[in-house]
Amino acid sequence: MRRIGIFAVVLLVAASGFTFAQSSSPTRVGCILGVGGLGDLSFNDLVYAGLQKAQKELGIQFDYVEPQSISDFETYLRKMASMKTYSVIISVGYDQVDPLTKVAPQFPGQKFAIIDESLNLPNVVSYVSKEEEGSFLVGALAGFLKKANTAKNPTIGFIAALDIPLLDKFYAGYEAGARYVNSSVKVIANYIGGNAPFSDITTAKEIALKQFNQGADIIYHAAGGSGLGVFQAAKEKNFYAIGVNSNQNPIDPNHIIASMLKRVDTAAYKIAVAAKQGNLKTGKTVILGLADGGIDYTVEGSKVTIDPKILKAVNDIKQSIIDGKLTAPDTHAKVEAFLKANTYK
Amino acid sequence: MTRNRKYLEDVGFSLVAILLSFLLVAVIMLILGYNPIEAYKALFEGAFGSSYSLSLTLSKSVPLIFVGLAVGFALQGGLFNIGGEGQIYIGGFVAAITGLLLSHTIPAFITLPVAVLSGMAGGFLWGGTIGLIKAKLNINEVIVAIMMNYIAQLMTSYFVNGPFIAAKSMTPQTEILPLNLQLPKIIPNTQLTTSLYIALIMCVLYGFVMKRTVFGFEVKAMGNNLHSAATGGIYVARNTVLIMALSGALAAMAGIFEVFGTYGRFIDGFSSGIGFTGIAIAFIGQSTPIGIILASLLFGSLQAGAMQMSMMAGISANINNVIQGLVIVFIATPNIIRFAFGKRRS
Repeated sequence: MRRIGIFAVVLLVAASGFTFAQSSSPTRVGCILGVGGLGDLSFNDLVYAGLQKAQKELGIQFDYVEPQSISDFETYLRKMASMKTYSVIISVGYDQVDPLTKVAPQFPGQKFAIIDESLNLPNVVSYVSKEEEGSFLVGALAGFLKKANTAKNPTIGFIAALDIPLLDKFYAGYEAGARYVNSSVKVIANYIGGNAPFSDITTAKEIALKQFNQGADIIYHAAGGSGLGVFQAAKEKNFYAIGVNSNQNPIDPNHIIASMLKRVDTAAYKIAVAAKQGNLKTGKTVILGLADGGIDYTVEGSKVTIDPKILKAVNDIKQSIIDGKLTAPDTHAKVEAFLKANTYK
Repeated sequence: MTRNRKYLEDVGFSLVAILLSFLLVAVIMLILGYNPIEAYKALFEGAFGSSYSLSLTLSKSVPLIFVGLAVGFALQGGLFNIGGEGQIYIGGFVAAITGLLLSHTIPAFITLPVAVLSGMAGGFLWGGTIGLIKAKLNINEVIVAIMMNYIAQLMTSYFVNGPFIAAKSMTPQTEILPLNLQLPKIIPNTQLTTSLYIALIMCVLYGFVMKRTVFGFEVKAMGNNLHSAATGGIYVARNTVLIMALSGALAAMAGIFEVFGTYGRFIDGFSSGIGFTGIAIAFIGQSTPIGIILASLLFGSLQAGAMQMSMMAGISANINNVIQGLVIVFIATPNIIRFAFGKRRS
């Protein structure tokens, strides 16, 4: 009899503990990082930082996974969705579009978010950035610098992995920014292409050296891992480079003058917060720019000294973009029209 | 020692080895500051805790069964097929491209078997080449196979990064196969497909060939003693090529059914080591069909469980490789050593 009593008490305690855990369960977010995982000093680390911030400030719990290859994405998406414990499952990076397109419709009750790509599904919210705004600022910075050193045919370079719409935003913003502040500057652009456009350091370096020979002594890249080749060339020939996505200035502080920041940490944080508040805009695309902290630029960590007047001018331009007085063009085709409509004073 | 007693001893030995690896990894977790009980709970739930977990365990086991059979078959014939990884990529790629090319003109019920057979033919040739080089030039099959792995993986990687990349895709993968070419799912909304049945059929077939056919007898004779097999009138050179080719076709099936089942398309680097895990599976499973199925289930459940463990306990899914590695060390080392040295001496 006594044994049954003890058993009942244990059961009761266990049950109450269970219901307690159920009722007060905090918002839980699942996150599928990109291949490469944590420690990449880029997207994955930034997303992780954003979720950590959400955890610290708002008590949002999160679980994350680091897939080994792109074929793992679908498995992890299904795994997380089938657990039914996550308020939202965050996919990091454009290469999760296909698996998410496949999995999301099969779990209509589960909310998903994708960072860095737009996907039109009723239970998916997409978070993309206005890369053209950050690129505009580093372009303006390059334009000012070319003005300061009074070269005859001021030339700057741009190297992208591929000629695709996503990277066209970088090109458009960069050229518009440079020519907006310095009408005599010329921008040469090249694409890496080939089999591994985002990790082809050798080709990127070749292109950078070629651009340098054509007179470009500030080169901005939108080429992921290939960018390291641009930095190598900058070091070898002693010219300036501009980093992208994360703060790449510390990689070579003597040659990298600034980095355009794609603040995916902001995106991850905003997704977690929206999940907690229950107002995820599923079915919609949220575009983050300078105004909401999704995009920025930084000179931190660079040892190249830039005239404070130039930095102030760039920050003034940043403010006018935030205020909506200036809209950076998001395709290269719009650059000429932008320059005609806007003149820098 | 009677057969049954040896069998029981083997099973006991395997269980002890598995337990030992779990204990050692628990110690590692403790040192790293994780809670092993919590971790193993998540591991178990991830492998068996729900119908989804079970389906994941099974779908992870299927390719391991194919490669386990492939390596086991070669081992029985005294050959070491470390080229499974390459054969997986070749098989998966050839089958995917054949399927995609034919799907526009020919009905699915013809295209599917043609694609599967062409993928197997790819693996057959890829593995057969290794056997041919060994038979004709007497070059160690291990070295050739390892080099062929690189060729296969990098070549298919080039193809799906370049000429065969899906339109508008920024990731290296082929177009998705039409739905009627993809294997039906056993449980909806999972990656478990009817390839499981095909794997089990292959196990039965493998057992039959090894036990009930002249060819199976020849293979085992070669494995037991190459010289006496040759003296006994077995065409050793021909069989060497044939064994490696068939082993290659079996390994290719792992890739083919990952492509036509699990993923529905060829994705660059999808195998990530299945071919090598297959070696451990064949050793642990003692090259028997039942043993290979059990070993595949063990490793499949570890892989499925590791996903949940990394999510819930924050331990990298790579710890799963440590467990797998230790299981291999504990179980297979004596066997590998016996195999390597036994052969040298003879």
